[in-house]
Amino acid sequence: MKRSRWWSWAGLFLASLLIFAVPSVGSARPGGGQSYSGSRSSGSSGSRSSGSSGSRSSGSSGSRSSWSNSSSSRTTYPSSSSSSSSSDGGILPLIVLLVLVVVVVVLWKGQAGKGKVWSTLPIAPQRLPSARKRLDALKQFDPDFSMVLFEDFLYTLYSRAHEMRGAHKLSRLAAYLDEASTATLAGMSPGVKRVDSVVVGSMLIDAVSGTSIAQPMTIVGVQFETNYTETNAQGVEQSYYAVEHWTLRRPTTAKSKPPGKLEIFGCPSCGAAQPEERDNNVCAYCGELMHTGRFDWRVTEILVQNRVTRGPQLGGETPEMGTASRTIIAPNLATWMQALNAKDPSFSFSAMGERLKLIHREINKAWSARDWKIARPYVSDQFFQMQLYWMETYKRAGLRNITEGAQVTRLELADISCDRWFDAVTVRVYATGLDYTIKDQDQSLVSGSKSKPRPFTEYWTLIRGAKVTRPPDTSAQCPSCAAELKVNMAGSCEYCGAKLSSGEFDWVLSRIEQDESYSG
Amino acid sequence: MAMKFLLTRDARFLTTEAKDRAAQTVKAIEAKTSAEVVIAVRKDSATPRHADYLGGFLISFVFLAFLLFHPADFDIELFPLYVLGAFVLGTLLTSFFPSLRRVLAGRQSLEDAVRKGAAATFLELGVTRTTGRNGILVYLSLLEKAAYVVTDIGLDAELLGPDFERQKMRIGEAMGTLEPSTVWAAIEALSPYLERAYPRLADDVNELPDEVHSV
Repeated sequence: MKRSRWWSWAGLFLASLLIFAVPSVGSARPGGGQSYSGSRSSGSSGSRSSGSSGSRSSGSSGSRSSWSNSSSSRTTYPSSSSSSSSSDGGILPLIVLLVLVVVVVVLWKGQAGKGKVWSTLPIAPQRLPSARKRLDALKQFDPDFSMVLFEDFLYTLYSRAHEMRGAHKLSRLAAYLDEASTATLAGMSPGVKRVDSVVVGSMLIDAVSGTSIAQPMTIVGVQFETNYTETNAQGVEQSYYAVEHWTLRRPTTAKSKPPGKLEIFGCPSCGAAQPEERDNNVCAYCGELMHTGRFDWRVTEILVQNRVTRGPQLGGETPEMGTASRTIIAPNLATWMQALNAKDPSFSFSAMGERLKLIHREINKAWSARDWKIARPYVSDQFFQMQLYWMETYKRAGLRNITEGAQVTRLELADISCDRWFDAVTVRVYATGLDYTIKDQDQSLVSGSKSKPRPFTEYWTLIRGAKVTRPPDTSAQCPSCAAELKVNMAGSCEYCGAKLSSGEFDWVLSRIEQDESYSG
Repeated sequence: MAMKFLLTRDARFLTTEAKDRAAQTVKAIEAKTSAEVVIAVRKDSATPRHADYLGGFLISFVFLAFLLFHPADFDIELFPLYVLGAFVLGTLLTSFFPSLRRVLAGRQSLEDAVRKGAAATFLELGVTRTTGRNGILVYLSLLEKAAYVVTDIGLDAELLGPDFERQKMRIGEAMGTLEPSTVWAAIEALSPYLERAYPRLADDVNELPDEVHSV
């Protein structure tokens, strides 16, 4: 590199030499035409003479013009010089330019070998893994941790906490709600007699910290968008739409409870259910103090961000965002795919895609017809409750959102994750269809288009019990008893009672995330 | 020899030795403070294309003067091509000479470029992604021979005091020499001020790794 730099300077020097050396060549041309400007064809009539420093001479048609300067007389004369003088001068600028080209090429080559720029920190990925994904890191200390179960726990805890504040029995959840959060809940409606119909419309884990062994406490922030009904002392019912942010903590190395123990809200240490009436916070079975936050998640802060009697604004036009963006594919997707195939050799993405298309068709049918029974066998309990919330919210606003002719055009596998209890597969769904909102009263169009299909993409996460190893089903039969598929609101088969919405038999839809919010 | 020195001394910041020394400097500072230090070296903060064009213009102007006043005679129809060729080559040529670019670009333009480059790098590297928002970026830009220090919102300028600000200026002065050892020493001299305001805690976690990464 140093060598090439020397060459470049040498090139420059050479160029300078040429510039100053060539004039002597020019002046020595035959005829000694110091001030001569000649046309290649004859003719002086067309020449223009300038008395100052130069002259432009042009010949007759087809002749070429040239410029010359005399340093001695500064006078130009018409002439009939030979073309040789002109050609001498003509090549000189080319030589100079050629030298410049050589210098540039040499420098360019020297530059190409130069080291790269650097920093003591790599460029951060544009999108951080989502908080949910980061929380998955807990599995390294807590093999029983399952995101599906944790979200079930959050959902149930929220509902239970509000029901308990209505019953004035928040102390029964002291192991899971600290004093400050208990006070916040109790202070919402001090005179309330009952809280029921608690429906969580959306639940977003928006903050996670402390998932490494170096940090003793894991902290999780969750935003709930909910609806519940309060009944006051006079028996008057009032529905509220609320947005609350809850902060939960637990020791990073704490152990999760298995499915079935989470909804009990018993002793956070041994999981045993506690008697309704008790004098202290000591577990009746294992003798541990239950309200220390040493064994399980405990809510340490509740912020009520919004609590109003009117539902959220619906029917606005929201443009699709991120539809054209690249699919966010998990970096370890291939590894997880191998793990899933090793566990269940019958698993194939194409077969699962057929199941997903069936689910897509059925939930769109259910949504447009406002008949959630159609979709109940294909969605998780949580998803069902959330969609029910939005359906009811539309109904209360006197609106109806219709998706017509919706069809999946493409599927792309984005992520797979497995834990002790569940497998989860995230697929980017490319779909199109009519999407519009009308008024219930007069069927007039509020938003969207009844004629122009709207292409969109979403990330769908389907879950299935970790022990299930059977090909995805697309028939309308109960996978447990093979009877006609009829499911009650709890997600159980009306004939055999098998719980179909838990993923114990087949893949069920657990989440839908939009492009702009999905971050892997 | 002087020319060789002029052209190659910025390359000393791009050697493995310089990178190792920078990583050591970061480790030395972080051993005393809870602040997270990141060093980033860039060849330039923004391509000073206007300086290159100005260089191209000057060279094409000289070339035109040469064509006009040289005693030899030249085909006038080719003048536009000659001048255009000289401009293009002059522009390219200027882009290879940092000193010439600095002169032609102007001080204000260079300072603006460094400030914007530092802010962009701060975000690009994710220096903000610390729990206590206590990241510091020491941004070194070779073409501009300038340094710019960006501190995150978790580090209070009042608590760090005016001496810290003066030391930041000294890093910039050290960059003027393009002597790596002087620059590393100036950066390491930030540590007493950081240590005083933000001492290292017993449970301190190194949230931003200190390994060198090429960009």
